[in-house]
Amino acid sequence: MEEKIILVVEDEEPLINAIKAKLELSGFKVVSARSVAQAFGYLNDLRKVDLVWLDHYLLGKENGLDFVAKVKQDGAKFKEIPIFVVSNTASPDKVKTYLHLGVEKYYTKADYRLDDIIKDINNVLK
Amino acid sequence: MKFSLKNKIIVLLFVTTLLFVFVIYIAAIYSKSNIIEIEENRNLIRSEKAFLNANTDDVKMLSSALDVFLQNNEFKKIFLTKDRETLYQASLPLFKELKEKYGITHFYYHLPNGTNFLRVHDKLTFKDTITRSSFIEAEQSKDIGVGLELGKTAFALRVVKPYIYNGEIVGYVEFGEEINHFLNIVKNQTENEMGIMIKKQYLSRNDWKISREKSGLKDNWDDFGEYILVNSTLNDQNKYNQALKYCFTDKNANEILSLKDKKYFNNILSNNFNSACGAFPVYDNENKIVGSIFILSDLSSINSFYNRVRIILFVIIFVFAILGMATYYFIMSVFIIKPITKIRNIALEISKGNFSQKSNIKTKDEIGDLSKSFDNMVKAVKDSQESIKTQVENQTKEIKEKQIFLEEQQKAVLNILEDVEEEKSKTEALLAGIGEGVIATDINANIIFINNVAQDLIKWSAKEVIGMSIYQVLPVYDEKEKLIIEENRPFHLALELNQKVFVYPQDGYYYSTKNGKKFPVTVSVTPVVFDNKLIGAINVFRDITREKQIDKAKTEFVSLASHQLRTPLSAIGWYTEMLLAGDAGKITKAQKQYLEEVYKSNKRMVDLVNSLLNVSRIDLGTFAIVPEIADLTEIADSILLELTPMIKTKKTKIEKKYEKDLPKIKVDQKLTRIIFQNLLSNAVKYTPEKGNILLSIEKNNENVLIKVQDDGYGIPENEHQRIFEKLFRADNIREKETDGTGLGLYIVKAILEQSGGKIYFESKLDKGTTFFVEIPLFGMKKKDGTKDLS
Repeated sequence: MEEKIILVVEDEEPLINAIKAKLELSGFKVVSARSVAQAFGYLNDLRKVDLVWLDHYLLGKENGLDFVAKVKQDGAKFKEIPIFVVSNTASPDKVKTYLHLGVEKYYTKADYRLDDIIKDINNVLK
Repeated sequence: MKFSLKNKIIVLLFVTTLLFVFVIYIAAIYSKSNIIEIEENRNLIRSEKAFLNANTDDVKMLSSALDVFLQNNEFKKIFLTKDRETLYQASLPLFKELKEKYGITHFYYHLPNGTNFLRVHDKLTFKDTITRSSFIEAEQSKDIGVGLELGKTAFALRVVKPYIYNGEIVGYVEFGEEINHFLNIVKNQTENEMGIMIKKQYLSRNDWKISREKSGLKDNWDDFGEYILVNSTLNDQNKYNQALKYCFTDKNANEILSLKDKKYFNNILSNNFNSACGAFPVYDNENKIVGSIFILSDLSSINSFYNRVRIILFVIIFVFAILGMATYYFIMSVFIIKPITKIRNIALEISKGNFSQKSNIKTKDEIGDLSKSFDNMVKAVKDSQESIKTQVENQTKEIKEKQIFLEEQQKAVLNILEDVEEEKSKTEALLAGIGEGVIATDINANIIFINNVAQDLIKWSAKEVIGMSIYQVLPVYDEKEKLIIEENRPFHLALELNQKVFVYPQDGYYYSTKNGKKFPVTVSVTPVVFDNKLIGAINVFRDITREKQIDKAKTEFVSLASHQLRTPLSAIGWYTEMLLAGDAGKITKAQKQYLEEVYKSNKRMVDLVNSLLNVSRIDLGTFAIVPEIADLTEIADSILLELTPMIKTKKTKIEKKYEKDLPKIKVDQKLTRIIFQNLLSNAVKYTPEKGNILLSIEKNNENVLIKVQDDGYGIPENEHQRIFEKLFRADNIREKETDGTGLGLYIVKAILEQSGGKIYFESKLDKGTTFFVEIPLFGMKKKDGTKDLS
């Protein structure tokens, strides 16, 4: 079976490392980006990303919402890639906007174990 | 004029005398009319007698003249030849002689059947039938017939006798004389006038005139309406015209002619013409009244006599009355007025303070008694005056003391008033100085007071708004800045419900200035009740523009802080998770134990941060309630599942009692989870190991009732009241369970209160606690907000 590639978009280094470590232990190939531009760079270069792990606050001016809006816009190449938003910003309008734009899942970082999230990823990518 | 006793007595006497004279005078007038009436009667009766006497005398005279004539056979023979002319020529000299001698005016020869053969006094009239009563009387008695009767031309006294030849009645002879003859006799004797009135219908004017002329008599036809005056003794008829007209009106004539008893002149009519009249009727042979013979009596001499008598009488009475009055006054003066004057003079002296005099009147009557009593009184007054003097001196002293006291009181009151004035100024200064806008109105919402802050805020001056309606001055807008109608404004509600009404920051109300600039406010409107009556309301408000800004900053800060706090917590959590999972290599048992402690503490930290966030959102009123149809038992089960590790650790026995067919209701799932999570975890947490927990969900009236019952530590009774306070933890569990924030029940209660539900509990120390939650069957109330609770 071909290795699945997960793009982790997260600004905090310690968290990237933890996520990366855990995902790799779970058998995924991981690339990580800290800004929207960087993330699009990976998407375009790799041509094949199976899932995006996305935080809300990112480096640079653009945030997770801007990223999702671009990915999910009509006719975009990466529209079908499932997106898991894992963030600590729990304002309901933001959650609503994300879900409305078509992200797969929304997690509050502090409330979920990595194990739980990865279990869901496996289910989605099965 | 002074009405002294003397004057009063004089007036009284004068009035009494006048009254006396008046009464006597009236009596005199009354007696006069009586006397005159009697006098009249007497007069008339006298006339009546004279009349009757004259009548009798003349009847005798006529009768004897007739007797003489009847014995003369010469005339008888001529009569028997029925040669009228010869009889007339033979009789005429005799008639003239009789007329001359006796005043005989009528001389008839009648045939035995009553047909008139010859009127010597009127030779051209004959052959008529005689029906007069005198004739009928003679015919029937075959002797004398007498009558005072009306003929065709005259009213006359008639005597008829049969004309007898050879013992056979061959005819009748009648002598008569005009009534004037004896009417004049009566007048001469009594000075009363007499006359004869005949009803018009029994006379012919023409016949009368002609026959009077033939007889060489005066035409004495005098018209009085229905009656004709045919004979009278009146020389000066004008004098009696009025009296006659009065007596012979229909009414009065009938009265004087009425025949109740048949006395002559029975009925007398007095009148105001200085004369009286009486009458008796004259009949024809059919007994019909054809007229009357009347008497007129002149009363003027009697009247003038009585007027003289009256004046004399009046003068005598007056003189006697004056004399009586004078005598009476003299007696009064000596026996009453004089002693009273004496007592009065002494009283005058006493009034000047001279008590030494005495009246000393020794008469044995009321005056004497009065004098004695008066002297006694003077003595008593003298004594009491002395005692009064002493009393007055004492009282004057007392009054002076009281006056001083009152002056002091007045001073005190003035001081109080000054204090009150000062207090009032202070109150006004306080009101004006209050840091919030204050507007007070009367019951009709018209502004009566506005403080400086309010004036600054709404940009209206007190001068402009006093007396205006607060609704006009102060428009109110909702959070969407839409104008709120008068009936829904806090001020209107407060006045209508007579209770305080508050507007909180989260209500999002705005006021607007005079220029239309809107600003957010908090408001409290308090009805003002005075003497149990609503008299107005006070509107206190604050511009919360700044608070709103701070609130926004705070919300942003909280949001940021939550992000910032949660990120390191996430890192700790995830790394610990990986270490425990052996992702970084195998770990020892002790390492595992420590790492688990780290993980647990981290989890608590996350929970605490979440709770603090929730509380801040509740406090700011920014959390939303989004009701959706949900199955409460499913939510409860999922929470129980989450709590399984804890339940297993404590070996707690959970019993579930869900009512069958429990309806799904509209609830906010997240909030409902928070409710179950807190109540169930508390129950587990605060019950010793192997405890029992009963969770029941049932329908109860219009609510869903959730019951969480444990047999745990319970809540001390003295802390029941505080159990829902923020950060409060009961004494008995603080040492047993360190793992608690004191925020859970606060959050649950806030959620239920804002969503239309209810929470309450029963608890006994060391016996256990039961929490009851009620959610209305129609679901939670929707609430818009910017934040979720987590």
